Amino acid sequence: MSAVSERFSQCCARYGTEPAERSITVGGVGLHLHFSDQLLAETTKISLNFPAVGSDWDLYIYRDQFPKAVRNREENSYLFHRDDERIFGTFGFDTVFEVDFAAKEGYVCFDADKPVPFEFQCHPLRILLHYIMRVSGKLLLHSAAVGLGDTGVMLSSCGGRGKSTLALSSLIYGLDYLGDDYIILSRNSHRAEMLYTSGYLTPVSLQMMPTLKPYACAKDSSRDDKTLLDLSDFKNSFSTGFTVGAIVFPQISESNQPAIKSVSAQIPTAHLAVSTAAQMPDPDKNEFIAAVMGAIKGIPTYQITLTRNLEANSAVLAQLIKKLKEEKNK
Amino acid sequence: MNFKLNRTEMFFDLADEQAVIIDTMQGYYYAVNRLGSVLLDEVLKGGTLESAETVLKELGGPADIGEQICAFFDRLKEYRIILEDDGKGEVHIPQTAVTDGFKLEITQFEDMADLLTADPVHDVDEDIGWPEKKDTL
Repeated sequence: MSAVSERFSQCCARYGTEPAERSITVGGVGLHLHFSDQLLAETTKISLNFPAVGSDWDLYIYRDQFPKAVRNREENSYLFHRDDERIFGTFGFDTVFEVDFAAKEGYVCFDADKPVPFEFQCHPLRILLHYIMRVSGKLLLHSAAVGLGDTGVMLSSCGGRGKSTLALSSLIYGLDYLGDDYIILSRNSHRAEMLYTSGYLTPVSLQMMPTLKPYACAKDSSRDDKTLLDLSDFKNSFSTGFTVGAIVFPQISESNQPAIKSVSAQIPTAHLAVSTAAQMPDPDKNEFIAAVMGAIKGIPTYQITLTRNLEANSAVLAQLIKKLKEEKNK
Repeated sequence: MNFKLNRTEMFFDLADEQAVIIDTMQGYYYAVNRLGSVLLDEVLKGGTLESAETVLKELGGPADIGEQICAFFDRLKEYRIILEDDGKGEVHIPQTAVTDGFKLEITQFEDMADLLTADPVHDVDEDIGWPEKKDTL
C-alpha cells in the first residue's frame, strides 16, 4: 500500500465514510479514481462521463483537515513544492493536490470544514489532469472546440468573449461538441480530445439558449450564478476527437451579420497561451507557455464576429469547418 | 549593435512573417507589423542594426531608416523583450517584408496582464513544514 493510499484509508476510517471507486479514460489515459465518500464520486459523474479503457493512474479524492500554512494565507496565491518525482500544490483556498509521477499516483484533498468547491463539480481534477497530460505528450488547454467528423476548430480567448456560448449553440445546431472551456491537445499532432462532458454557461447565455435550460443542474454562486449543464443526453453529438484545422478567436459585436476572416496569429495565440497559463497554476509559466505555443504552431488563425443570432453564428462556423475539411481532403 | 531575446521573461516565434511575442511573467502580448517581425527575427539570429540599415536602404527605405530602426529596438528594450548582445552577423530581409512600406510598428496589449499576476505562484520549502514530507504522509 502506498503512502497516499494509506493516508486515504486512514482518512476514510477517521471520518467513518464509505469509499467509492470509478474508472474512466481521459485523453487516452486510464484513471482509477478513489473517493473517500459516495458524494464526491457522484459529483464527478456529470463532467467526467467517460468509459474506462485500462487504468494507468490511481487518483485519490478525499476531504481532510488542512495544513495551517494553506488555511492561513491572506492572498489567493498558490504554493508549490516539487522535486524530481512529485509536485505538491494548493489550488485556491480549498484544495491541496499532489502528483507522484514515478508512482503514477495523485490526490486531491478538500478542506473537510468547507463545502466541496463548485470548481470540482464543473471541472473535476483539472490541476491533476494538467500535470498528467503533460507527461503523456498532451496539454490541457483553456479553449472550447467543435467540429464535423474528423476536422474541427478551437474557439480560443480569455473568458467573457463568447466561446462557451458559441460552442454550446454549435452543439444545438448540429456540430460535434468537444468542449466549451477546456480541451486536451496532442503536443505533436494538432489532435484535440474531449476533457469534460458538461457545459458551463452564464445566466445571460442560458437565456439565449432555452433548449439547454432543462439540462441545468447546478449554479455557481461564487461566479455570478454560472450554470453547470449536464449534457449526457447529447452524447451522440460528442466528438471522439478531431484534427484542429483552425484556431478561431471570438469577437462579440452589435453587427447583424456574423463574419469570419483569416487574421494574424499574434492575438489569438497569445490569448490562448496566456489564458491557459493563468488557468493552470504551474511554477514554470515561461516553459508552459512555450509548450502551448509549440503545440499550436502551424494552426491557421481566424476571427469570428459574433452576433446575437446564435444559429447564424454556428452556420458561419460550420462553413469554415467544411472548408477546412475540403482543404484537408484535397 | 545586436540584441538577443530576453528568454527568461519572453516567448518569441515567427510564423508567416508575423512575430508572436508574449511576456510570460506579466501576461502582456504584442502585435508587430510584418517588417518589424522579420527584422526582429533577423537581429535575434545575430544580425546587427547597422546591417539592417544597409539592407533596408538597398530595398528603397527612407533616408532616416537608421533612426527608425534604433527607435524600434529602443521600444523593444523598454518592453524588456530584448537584451543587448554581441552578434556581428548580416541581416537578410526579403522583398515581401517591405510590400507594406518601411514602418516599424509594435503595439503592447495589457488586457490579460491581470490573469497571470492575480494569483502568484510561490515555491515553498518542504523543510518549513508544508507540504508534509513523503515519509510522514
